[in-house]
Amino acid sequence: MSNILIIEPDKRLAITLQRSFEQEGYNVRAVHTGQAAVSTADDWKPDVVVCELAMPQHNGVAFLQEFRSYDDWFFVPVVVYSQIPREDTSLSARQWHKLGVSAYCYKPTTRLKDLHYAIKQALNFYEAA
Amino acid sequence: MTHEGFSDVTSRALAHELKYPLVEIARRAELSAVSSVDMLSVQQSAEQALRLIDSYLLSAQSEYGQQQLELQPLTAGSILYDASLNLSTLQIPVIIDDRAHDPIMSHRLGLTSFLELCAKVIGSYENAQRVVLRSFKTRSGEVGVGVLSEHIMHEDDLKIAQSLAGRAHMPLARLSSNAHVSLLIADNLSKALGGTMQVKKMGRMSGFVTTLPRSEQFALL
Repeated sequence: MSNILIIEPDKRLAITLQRSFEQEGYNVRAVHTGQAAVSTADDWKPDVVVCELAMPQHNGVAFLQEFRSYDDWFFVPVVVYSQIPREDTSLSARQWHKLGVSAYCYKPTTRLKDLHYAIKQALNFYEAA
Repeated sequence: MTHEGFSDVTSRALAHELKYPLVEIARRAELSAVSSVDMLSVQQSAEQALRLIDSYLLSAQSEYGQQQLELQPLTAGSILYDASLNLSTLQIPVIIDDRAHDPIMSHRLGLTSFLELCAKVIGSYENAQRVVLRSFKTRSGEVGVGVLSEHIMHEDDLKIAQSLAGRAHMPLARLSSNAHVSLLIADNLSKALGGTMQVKKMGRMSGFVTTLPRSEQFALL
């Protein structure tokens, strides 16, 4: 069973996502800040990270850059699930890819089943690599 | 550039904030929708509200010059198809009628939102039997897109919506409660895309249409 780490500042949404992924058979941990994510990933290695970029005390892109800087997590794929449309970020698709983002999902138009698909794709690619 | 007042900034900020609880409602409802038809309906309502908010924010961005809609080469057919996917909750059939095969310069999300908003207004007419998403070429060679139905549209509907912006609660009483604001947002989007929204009669059908700017580069090909 794969491990999913959710980084979601909205606690109610985090619970919904956690329940949804657990129903699919994943082991799930949900945290609400980038700092908590780093602490959690230290002793519980995630196979994929689902991450909101709009975090209260941490810039989401800066968090991803920090996450990528640790050897243990360099190859862990990230699925961005964010309120910020990708067009509103200053990064190109290539730059997101360099940050290890395998899918960028815009919250208002991405259903849970689409998110599950993006996670499966990320895990399949990671296992094949 | 139009001066952006305090209430406009507040409205946009409020719209952004409203997305948070609506996303939570939509996703929580989706989780429960497997066993409950009512939850599926809640999910769809929340998702419709989210699309309306996004359409408003898109039209507001370009109105105040903060972000011009970035135009890119597209095909009208792909826009009609994208819009039809988001209209599955309409209770009547949605038909795609792609008659203009020339490439266009437009903004995918902006133009799709325009069609969806118009389709929902037309779909709310009592005797609407179907909506037709159509692309067409005008006599002057411009490409247009629109939403049509066999119901005879009132040209006044658009004029009333434009003239009573911000001054009346439900001026279009014979339509659904959000028809007025949908038409206003669609009108703004049409301007942001370089077109003009009109009520147009085409054969036995009528509806809301907008024309799109010509692409000088493609005209040379």
